[in-house]
Amino acid sequence: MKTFLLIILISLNSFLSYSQMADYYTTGYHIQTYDSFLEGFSNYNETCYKSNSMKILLNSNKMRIEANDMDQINQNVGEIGSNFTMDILILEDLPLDSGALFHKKISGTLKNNQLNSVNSMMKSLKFKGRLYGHKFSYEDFVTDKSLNGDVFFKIEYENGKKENYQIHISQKTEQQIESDKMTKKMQEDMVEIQNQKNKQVQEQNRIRQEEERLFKAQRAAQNIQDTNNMINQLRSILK
Amino acid sequence: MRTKLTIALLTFSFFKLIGQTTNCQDKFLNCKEIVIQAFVDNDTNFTSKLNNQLVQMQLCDPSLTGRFTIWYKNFVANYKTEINNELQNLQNEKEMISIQTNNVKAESNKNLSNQIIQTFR
Repeated sequence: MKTFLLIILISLNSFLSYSQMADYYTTGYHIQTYDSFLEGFSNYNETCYKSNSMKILLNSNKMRIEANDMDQINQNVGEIGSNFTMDILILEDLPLDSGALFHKKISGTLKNNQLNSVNSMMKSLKFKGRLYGHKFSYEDFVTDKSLNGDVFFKIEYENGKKENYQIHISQKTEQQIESDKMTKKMQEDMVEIQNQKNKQVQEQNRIRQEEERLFKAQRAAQNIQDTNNMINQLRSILK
Repeated sequence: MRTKLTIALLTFSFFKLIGQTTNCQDKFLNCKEIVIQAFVDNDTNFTSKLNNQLVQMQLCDPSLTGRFTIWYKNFVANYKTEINNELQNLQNEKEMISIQTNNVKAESNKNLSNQIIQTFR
């Protein structure tokens, strides 16, 4: 029993040590937007998905896309709020298309983790397709020379369904993206507050000017009063 | 010996757990401190430092992000209200002085006019 307890404690200890290390550990690549179709791909523009919580993992010739809280127009892959995983295997490099930084033949599987009877046919779909790079080099990305960019690919499922994908990916973690948003908002607030503070300084200057005007007016009034007194005295002497 | 080791490990783990909670709380407090200092000093170069602390805080305890956001919203709202109130007070003060100046001028003009009228009678 004591040995068992000891093992549990050692495991707990190891876990806690790992948790602390995890403070400084980030996992791969995150998708920020997923919102448009490639121009000229009009044959495929039937479906549009949006998600702010997608993740992409690149490993050698494999790419895994994980999407949560998917918000989609034209339901195809799953219901709103469902999760899906897309495993893409890069098969071979193809001759470059115009403007593409990379051009690869791909195959893979789309898996939906939360399916109901309506779209159960989509539970696991194999596909073939092509991966295009337009705004960054795939090699630069996986070797950390580039921090973010867009991935374009089109796929054809085994059931005949065709889709286009444009995904913005970033090596920034979700936490970094969120903290960036927050600090940006703070900077905007700071500018607004600084403007108000500048107005305060202007107002203080105006008060100073107004006080000078008041002082001059009071002095002038006093002079007039003194002159009046003098005239009154002269008048009484002359009488 | 084994019992002692067990107790030692148990104690260590307990304090480590407590330490972690405190650690997260410290990160939360650090973020607050950076924001307050930045606003007081009007230091716009606070972002990299804060970004790092925010990420550490989120990784340490994701629930603290919500708490921090709420705290920040209240902080900045109160700060803006305070600044706006101060500005309003200054504007009111300036207005009061302006009215006082105009009153003094009007009064002295009246005195002067009266004296001139009396003198020419």
